[in-house]
Amino acid sequence: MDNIDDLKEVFIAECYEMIEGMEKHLIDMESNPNVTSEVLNAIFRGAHSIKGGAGALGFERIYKFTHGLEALLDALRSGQKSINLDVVDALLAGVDIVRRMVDAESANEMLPEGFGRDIQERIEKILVDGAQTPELKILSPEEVPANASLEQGNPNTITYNIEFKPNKELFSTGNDPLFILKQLQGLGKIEVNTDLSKLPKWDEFNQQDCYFSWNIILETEAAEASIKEAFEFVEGLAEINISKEQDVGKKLEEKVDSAKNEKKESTELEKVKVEKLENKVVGAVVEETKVSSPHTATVRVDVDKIDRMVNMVGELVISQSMLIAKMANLPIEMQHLLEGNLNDLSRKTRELQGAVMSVRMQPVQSIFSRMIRLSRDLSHQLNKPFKLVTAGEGTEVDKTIIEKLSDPITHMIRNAADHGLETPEERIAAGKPAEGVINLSAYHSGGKIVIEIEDDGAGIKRDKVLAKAKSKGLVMQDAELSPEQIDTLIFLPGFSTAEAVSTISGRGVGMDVVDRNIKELGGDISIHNTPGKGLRFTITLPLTLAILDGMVVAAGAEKYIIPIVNMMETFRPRLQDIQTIANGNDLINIRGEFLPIVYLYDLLKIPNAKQNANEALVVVIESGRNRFGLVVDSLLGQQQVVIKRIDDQSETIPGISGATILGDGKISLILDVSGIYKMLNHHIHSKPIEAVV
Amino acid sequence: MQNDLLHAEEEKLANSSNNEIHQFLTFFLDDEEYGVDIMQVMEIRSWSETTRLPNTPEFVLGIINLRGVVVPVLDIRRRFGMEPAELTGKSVVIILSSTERTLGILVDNVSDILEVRTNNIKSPPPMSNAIEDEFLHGLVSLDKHMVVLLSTEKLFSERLLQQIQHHGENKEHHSTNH
Repeated sequence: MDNIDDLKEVFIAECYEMIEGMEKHLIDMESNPNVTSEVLNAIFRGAHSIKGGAGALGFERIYKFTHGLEALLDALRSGQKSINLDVVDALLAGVDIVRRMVDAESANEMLPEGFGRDIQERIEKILVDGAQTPELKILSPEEVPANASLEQGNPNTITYNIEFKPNKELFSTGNDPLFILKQLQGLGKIEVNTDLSKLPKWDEFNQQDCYFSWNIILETEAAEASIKEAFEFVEGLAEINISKEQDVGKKLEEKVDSAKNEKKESTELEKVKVEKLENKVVGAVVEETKVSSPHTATVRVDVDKIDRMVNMVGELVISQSMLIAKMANLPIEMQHLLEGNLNDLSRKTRELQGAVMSVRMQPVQSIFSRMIRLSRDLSHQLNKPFKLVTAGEGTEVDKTIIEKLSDPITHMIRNAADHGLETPEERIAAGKPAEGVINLSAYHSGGKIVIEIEDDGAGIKRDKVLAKAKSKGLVMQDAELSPEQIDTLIFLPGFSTAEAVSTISGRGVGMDVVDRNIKELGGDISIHNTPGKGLRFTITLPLTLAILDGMVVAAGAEKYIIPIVNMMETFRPRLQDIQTIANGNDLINIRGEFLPIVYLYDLLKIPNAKQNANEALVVVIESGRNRFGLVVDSLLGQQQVVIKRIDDQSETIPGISGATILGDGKISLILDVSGIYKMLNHHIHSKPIEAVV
Repeated sequence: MQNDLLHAEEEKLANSSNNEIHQFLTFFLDDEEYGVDIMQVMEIRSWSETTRLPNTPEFVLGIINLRGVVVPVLDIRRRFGMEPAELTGKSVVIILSSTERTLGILVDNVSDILEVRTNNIKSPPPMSNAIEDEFLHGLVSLDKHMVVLLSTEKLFSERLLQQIQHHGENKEHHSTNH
């Protein structure tokens, strides 16, 4: 029973991967009219594997449906049917159905009877009828234009075969072939095979001479000129042949044969290399598994197992800090004795922690590829041609963050397509190309993840936004706001500028939900508006949710943790710096700027804490765009803490984001600064905008 | 089809389990004895200082560190509307655990392990005492006294942020059902 469940899980995970791959190829097909049979084969294999797995595990619906898909793909592949945009669209719709079916299996849901029948009929109809829209041309690999690629999904890479046969004198000229190989490695994916056949017998061996030559297979987007550049310094010292893969398939094949014959005595390792080379040659001529088998060896691991590992390492860190805390009570000689080992232990646990955390990291690719699909559909629905350009798909983020990023990013792309980008006519009138561009990029910066969503649409029309905010009572009628302040109004709850509510966006929940989602992840979102030119959102996120750099603070007898990232400065104010305003709340004057202050003891009802700010400490907290002072008794020290959930129920306690276990084994609560800011606002009941400023 | 099968299975189970023996861990609150299904009891530990959870109802005593897991502890006396617990040397925290949740309840002292046959469990009379009847699983009468069996399911669904007003509401709502 369990075994079947395991199999099922693996199958479902694989299905998602294959669906994603198929979808990507299909979308590529739409924009690239020259379809290679390689790509079609890859899609066919996807459908075929899903069908096979579904059949074996008894998922009858998936089996039947993918059978239809497979039949159509087979007809396309063999050239019985021709491909056109309508067919691609039907196939994409089909992939969606498969995804829904897999979703349902994974959640043990029942889909309604006849689910997907319309699409199935559409696919069957194509098989019977053939289609009317203009055809896309299928190219066999031999016909592939030089700049197209065999490597799927990367249309600009070219595979080069490079023969590098240096003369014997190479070393004596001070050239290092390793350096050249490294330079080539920098250009793309490289496979180097060293030819040792010229190696002489030991007594004939001259250590000054170079006996090696190399066969290099390089997959690169770079031009041939930059490959030549790598060999610049050895020109005349070596025989160098650079050729594109197709031309030399045959030549290489012969090479492999001869290499095989010559190297009967070769070691196991070399055999593997030769086989690889052979595969490569085969791959260039016939369809080979190169497309479907990834180069890096990976293991599929249950997320629960990883989480357990992360937890255990967290425990280890805590035990270690307990040990260090206890050491402080030992006589000084003993401390000296243990210090070295303990430091060693600390370093290793930190390293282990880092390693384990990195297992949880996933590239943002999974979200980005979903967005590509979303954009395609949006472009059709809205009748606005635009393209989504992604960058930095390989940027890694904690798994939990990835899961929670999907919704906000979807929402923002929808917004950008629906409200941001103008219609083609408007764009042309404004002197822009008819096709809009949305850029979605991710990168690391200063220990944080940055995700940017930028469109080249009309930007935010500030007068409209301000008028709307005023009419909704979100801003005082006579409020004077700076342009930047007006831009941030779109984050206020209940704000939606769409003139007509469409199905795409503008369902009343708007940027405030996005803002909240990002804040929940401990991140921040900012907006950069250039009216008429476009709009950019910048999301910054922590690398991980499981560990936090915290400051332990005391209030009364209790200890709390403030995330270091939110702390700006700490000081003890003078009495005259504190002003109580009409509504009974205090403001603090920091170098001429007035910030609201909140007393932690008051907020969390902590007994016996210092009541006067001038006897306690004010910690200046920055939470997103907001700053405020938090009054605590004292700071106890900085510490990395492992974040724990307080309870398995999903409710959150206002002002508290989680708990952690300190070195003494006691639990301490982690403060949620954005939550505290909200509580403060609630307290003050001030006009919303003035509090934001 | 699968459902039918499950159903049949359940029925078989119900028939055979009429006289099955269940074990309950019993404890005292004031002078009354209560029991919880022993299958849900993870461990019993002596009272240790909790970390207070601010802005939660009074019956939430706070959280404790149970070998690295953060576990909330509830004062069920307060939850049941009794006088708050006085901490004595006998006060203990019973850690209850389901697949979804782990939580502790503070009780005056643990008493015994009670073996009860299913058909000896009487359904509780409505509005029997101060405890909301949702918390009650059943009653068992022993020679001299009664043991009130608590529904762990209800305990596990207890929320930390529940407002005090809800108590009244729940009761009213429930009484109209009867």
